[in-house]
Amino acid sequence: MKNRTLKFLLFLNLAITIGLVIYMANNRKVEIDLSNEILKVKGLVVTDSTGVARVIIGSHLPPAQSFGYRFYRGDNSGVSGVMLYDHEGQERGGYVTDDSYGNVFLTLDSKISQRVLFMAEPQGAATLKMWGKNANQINLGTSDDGTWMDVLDNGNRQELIKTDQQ
Amino acid sequence: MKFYKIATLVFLSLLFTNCKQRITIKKSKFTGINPVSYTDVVFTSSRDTVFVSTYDGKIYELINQKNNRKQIAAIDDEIYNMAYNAEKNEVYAATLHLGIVVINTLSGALIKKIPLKASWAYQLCYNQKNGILATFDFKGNHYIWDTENDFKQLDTPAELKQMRPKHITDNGDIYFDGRMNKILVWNYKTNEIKQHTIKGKLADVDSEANFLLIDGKEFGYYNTASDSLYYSKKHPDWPIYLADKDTTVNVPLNLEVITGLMTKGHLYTYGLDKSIRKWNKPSGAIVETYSKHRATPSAMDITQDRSQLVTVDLKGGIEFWDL
Repeated sequence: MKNRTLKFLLFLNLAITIGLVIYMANNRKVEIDLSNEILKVKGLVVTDSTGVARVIIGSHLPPAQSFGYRFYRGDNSGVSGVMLYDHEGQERGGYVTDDSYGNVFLTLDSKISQRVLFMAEPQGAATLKMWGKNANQINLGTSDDGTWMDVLDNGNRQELIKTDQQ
Repeated sequence: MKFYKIATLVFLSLLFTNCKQRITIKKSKFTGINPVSYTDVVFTSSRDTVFVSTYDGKIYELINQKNNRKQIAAIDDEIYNMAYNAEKNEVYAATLHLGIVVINTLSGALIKKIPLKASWAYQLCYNQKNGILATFDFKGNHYIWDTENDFKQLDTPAELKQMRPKHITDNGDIYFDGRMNKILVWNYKTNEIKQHTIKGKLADVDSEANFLLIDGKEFGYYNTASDSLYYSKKHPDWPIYLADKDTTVNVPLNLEVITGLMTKGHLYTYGLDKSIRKWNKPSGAIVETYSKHRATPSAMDITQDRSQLVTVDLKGGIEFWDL
């Protein structure tokens, strides 16, 4: 009886060990299919082959990267959304919402500073601004109260359109 | 026998429990993820040997004409700027979250953290002779420490409020810029303050106490004796490297000048056009254009005897220039 029990246990142990070995061998590579799942994440970072971040989707997004350091965006200026970075890791534009005013905006930046702003404010005003240095600027906007378009050429303002319904 | 059976069953149960596969996801951050860019460079010997820092918190030692680099330290933060104390084998590093950190370069250990009042600092200035270390944060606070006196913070006069320390000389003069187009020179030993009216940001001060100023696409050489600019210049012709043809074409456009420094007879500036330019200091005439960098330069340093320049860029390039 003793002998039979031991044999049985030995056989059982052997069977389980072989089973486990087969299981582990078959499951070394784990493929996770999330195509039917909803992912809840704080952020996604897309890097290029050198490890430089090129796209970040996040809340909140990190401070803008400049020539070897980061800029401070300012107090209460957390933004969330999608940010694009060039091959040197510098922030070059984003499609974001901010926490303080509730604006949604699309920005395009040079390597030095922001140059294009396309924005909708929470109360409804929409603006497209493009600017360079030396006070050169094109400003196009519309709201429930009117429409405007003005151009600054070296600081000299020319109002091309200005309507006011009030 | 009964005990033996029970022990076997317990063993098998434990075996099954531990066979469950656990998948963990590596923790990541939004910062410290660029391992390529060099953020700063400092000479650590009379020539040819430097420390470079990275966004992912590493400090490496690099030697001219040698390909491999030696890791000196690694911290869990981004490093933006460094100052090197050769006597104590210490690096003072400006970081994103930890403030200013003191790193022993022999052991790689982080031996001190100096917190800032607000935000972070990205530019340090240090004078080895008097041991004064200075920086500023994005909220306009400045910080002056005496590294020889356990990093005691020096009080500054009210006139210097919101000003940024940029340069420290051996005699104790600390040069501040940043407000109302002026540079204030405060001597921390005598408490004397001198003022200069300028346009631009202070990049360097030469042995005659004249300034190199950077203002967008222009830089200027400023004479403090006459309180006026000698000249201002732009980087002429943007040299664009065409990799497929292995040639450089010059496009007649002026791009932003990022910073520069001075020797006795020359000015060296680098800019968004990825070039380093050498200028004759007295005349302002361009002497040479160095365009070996394939990415935007991010920092430069010069040896004590001003005979060798080193520049690093945002794609991990480093160039030594014998002057």
